[in-house]
Amino acid sequence: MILKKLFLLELNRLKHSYTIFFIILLTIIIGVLGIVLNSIYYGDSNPEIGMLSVFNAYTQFTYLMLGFVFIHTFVKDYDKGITNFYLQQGYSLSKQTICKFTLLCVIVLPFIDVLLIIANLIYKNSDIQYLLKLIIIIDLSTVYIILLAILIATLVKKSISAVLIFYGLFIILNVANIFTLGLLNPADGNSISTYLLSEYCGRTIVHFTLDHFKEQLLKYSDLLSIIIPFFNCLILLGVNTVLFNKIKRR
Amino acid sequence: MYEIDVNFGFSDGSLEYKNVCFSFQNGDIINIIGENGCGKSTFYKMLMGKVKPLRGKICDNIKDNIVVISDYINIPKEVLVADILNFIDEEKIIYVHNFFPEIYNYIFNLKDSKILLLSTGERRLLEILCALSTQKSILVLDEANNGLDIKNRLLLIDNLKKISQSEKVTVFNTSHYFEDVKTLGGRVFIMNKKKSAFEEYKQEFTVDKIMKYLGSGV
Repeated sequence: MILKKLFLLELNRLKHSYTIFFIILLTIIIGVLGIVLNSIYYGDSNPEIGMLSVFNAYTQFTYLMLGFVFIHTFVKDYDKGITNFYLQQGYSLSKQTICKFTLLCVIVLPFIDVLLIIANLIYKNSDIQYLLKLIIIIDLSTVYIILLAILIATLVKKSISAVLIFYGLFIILNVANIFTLGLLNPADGNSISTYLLSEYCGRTIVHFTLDHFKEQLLKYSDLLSIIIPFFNCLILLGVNTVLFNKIKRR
Repeated sequence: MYEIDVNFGFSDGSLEYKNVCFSFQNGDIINIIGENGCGKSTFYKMLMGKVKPLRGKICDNIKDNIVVISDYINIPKEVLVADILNFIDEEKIIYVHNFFPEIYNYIFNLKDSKILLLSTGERRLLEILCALSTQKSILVLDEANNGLDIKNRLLLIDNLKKISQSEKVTVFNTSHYFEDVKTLGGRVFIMNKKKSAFEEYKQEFTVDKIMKYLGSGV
């Protein structure tokens, strides 16, 4: 295990800086928000719509709330010269990033999944396939947010600028999603996955571009709602890999 | 033998040192002196490969073998000293323990302290330990003795002399404490911002003469 020591040190950093605590707290708050918003807007709705509200909370609020923790985890090390310390100790930038990325995924994803299962029990939803679909899409959307945080942190390297760009991009991508078939940002209410899941629950949402292809899209609803966020992650992973290779060659 | 033949300076063109040309060997001690903002850190960043020279290039055998102690390279402060000691490979820690027992013992006694709560000097000594553990052949101390008390400054100088003589590590040292530079010995280069000159000082090294040479309060 080449990265074991770095992994342990990074875990200790997350622990001592209360980052793990904040991740857990924010993840619970997002789940509760989803449940509260559902009861405000839909009251005693069916289980699928209840779970859809939780889904919407986890896709959008994860970007807004946990996104700050993610980008801060990466950018502060550039800002404070800690990446240089690791470099001198023999850990390349990509090794450092892989380590932090893995840690964040290992902490956040299972916890979100557990909370989704709890929400599922609260709403007494018996459609397990639907639950699995929600879990996969939210996990992919969270991975997308972490990968985007890595990209911006590595390009910008300054805390305040990176955070501002990260949130600015959220607005830009959300607006762009309306005009680009919801393909650009899976962590958004206008994403193709949210659109298709809403249709599945019978809670149709109006979408400027997706409405034109509704019939065709619904035929492949299950596949598209998962494969698009998967490709979003894959593209970001590719861009990050190219970026790190370029930095390495410099 | 390492060769440097470059022009370097600030990328905005406000300062450029032309034809900076010198060579050094393993075990040399090289002091670089100059007033604030004259580009000392830029020079070291160039040696690390983080800043491109304006002319020429830095050989890979310098870039790959350099370790820098400076304000722009920091250890994570959230963790305990023990976490950092555990992070470093065991054989490297044994090396530091055997060759620099005073530094190792000083840091080991702080192992249960949070790095954030260490004094500047204690933190600097931990950074020095981490740098020494890398066993690289070029050690750069960019104002690394800032924050150290006189006892630890002398301890650092002793260890730098030791590492250059017994381990043949090249030491680049920048300090505004001229007495420390004198005690450390070795070659002295002066960076003069006003004249854009990077030159070796070969006269007798006294604080007064250096001050006179620089013509400013460095």
